[in-house]
Amino acid sequence: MHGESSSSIAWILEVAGASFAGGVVGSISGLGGGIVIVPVLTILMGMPIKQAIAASIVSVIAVSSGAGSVYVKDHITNVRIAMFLELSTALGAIIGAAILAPILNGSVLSIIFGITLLLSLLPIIGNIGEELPEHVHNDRLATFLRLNGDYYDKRLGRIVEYNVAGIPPSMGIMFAAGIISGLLGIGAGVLKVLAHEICMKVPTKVSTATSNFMIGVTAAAAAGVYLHRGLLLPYLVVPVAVAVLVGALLGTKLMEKMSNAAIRKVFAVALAVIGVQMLMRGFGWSF
Amino acid sequence: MDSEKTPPPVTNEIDPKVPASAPRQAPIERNPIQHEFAIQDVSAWVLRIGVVLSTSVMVLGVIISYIHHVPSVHHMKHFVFVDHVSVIWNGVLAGRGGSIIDVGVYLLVLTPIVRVFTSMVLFIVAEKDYFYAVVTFFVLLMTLGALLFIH
Repeated sequence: MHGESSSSIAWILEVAGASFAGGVVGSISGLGGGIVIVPVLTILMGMPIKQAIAASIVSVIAVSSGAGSVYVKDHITNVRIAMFLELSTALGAIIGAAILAPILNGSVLSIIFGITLLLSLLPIIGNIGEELPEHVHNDRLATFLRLNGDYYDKRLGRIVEYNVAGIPPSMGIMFAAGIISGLLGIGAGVLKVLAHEICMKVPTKVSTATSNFMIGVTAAAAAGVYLHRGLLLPYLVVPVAVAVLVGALLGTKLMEKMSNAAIRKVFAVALAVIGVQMLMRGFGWSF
Repeated sequence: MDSEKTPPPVTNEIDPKVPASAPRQAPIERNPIQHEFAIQDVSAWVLRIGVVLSTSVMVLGVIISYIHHVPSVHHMKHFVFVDHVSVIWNGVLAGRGGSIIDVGVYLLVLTPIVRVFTSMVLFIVAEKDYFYAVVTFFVLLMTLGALLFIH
């Protein structure tokens, strides 16, 4: 009995440790906790990928809500961008989770995950040192939708105003993000941050905060499927949700004081490391 | 009578307080920035209450199940969420830790959805912005639809 209790507590602490790290990285980078939690649960702890994904969907909701409450209160999140683009993401998430997920196996999921992450590195490295995007003009949709905004940057100590470009391609990427989120349970913050950075060209803090705000809704849309299929393990979900939340709250404190360029570096490193891990797992080269 | 005949001062067409002789601004490339502080502040509270409430319920569930019976790692890796309102409700009434955890998970999943709902209401009530209210309504509809009806 005693051994059972200590080993189950040890298991919970392992899960919680990974989730805490996931919460910190996820809230700073706008990627949600899944980007750390899925690989740790599958590669290091030997959990089946579908259960790991189900747990990470819940972690995404916790990070999005916990960090979101801070970023929204501090007016970094662009609520209009989030609401408008959530339309295409929600649609994509339904299609991904309902139609595509049952016909794909774990290895294929892992390989898609890995390739997605590694490909998204290329454009990010291109402007890795840039603090604020310059010479951005609203496109017509952004003007019509009144998407441009401002935020107070604690690091720069001033209000930063920004325009928003490239809404049509962003809608396409958000749709793809929804599909991948429904498939892989990663909240697809990856694609959401990329749409903000590369198409809309908003400051990285706005990317991160707005993406973070959106992934919770996407994950909630996808969570129903995991609930119905019995893939959510309650004893896995609790340490994940609690620890990821604590990590996310710490992450928001760090993020607001960091420079945009530093946040983009955190984002890039997270992509590279985990992209490689998931490819290795997908091809069966576990370690 | 004379004063009535003096022509009114020439003013800027857009802003009567600014005389026309004032230097014209360069063409504005930026839209006026709109803020929706009401939506942001209410959203922040909804999210905060949601995460605190749901994780507290989850932790309570774990504590209760530890008091009843220490779950083995095997049990933890395989005990599955039963997705039936009646099963969860009976479990909560019977004081089963697993069911209480389930309630917490549902509260967490509902948190962003409640946030979308309150945003929709505030776009109507506080912002009088019906376009975004409709956008938010469709997001809400799809999210609830996915949560409830996709199996």
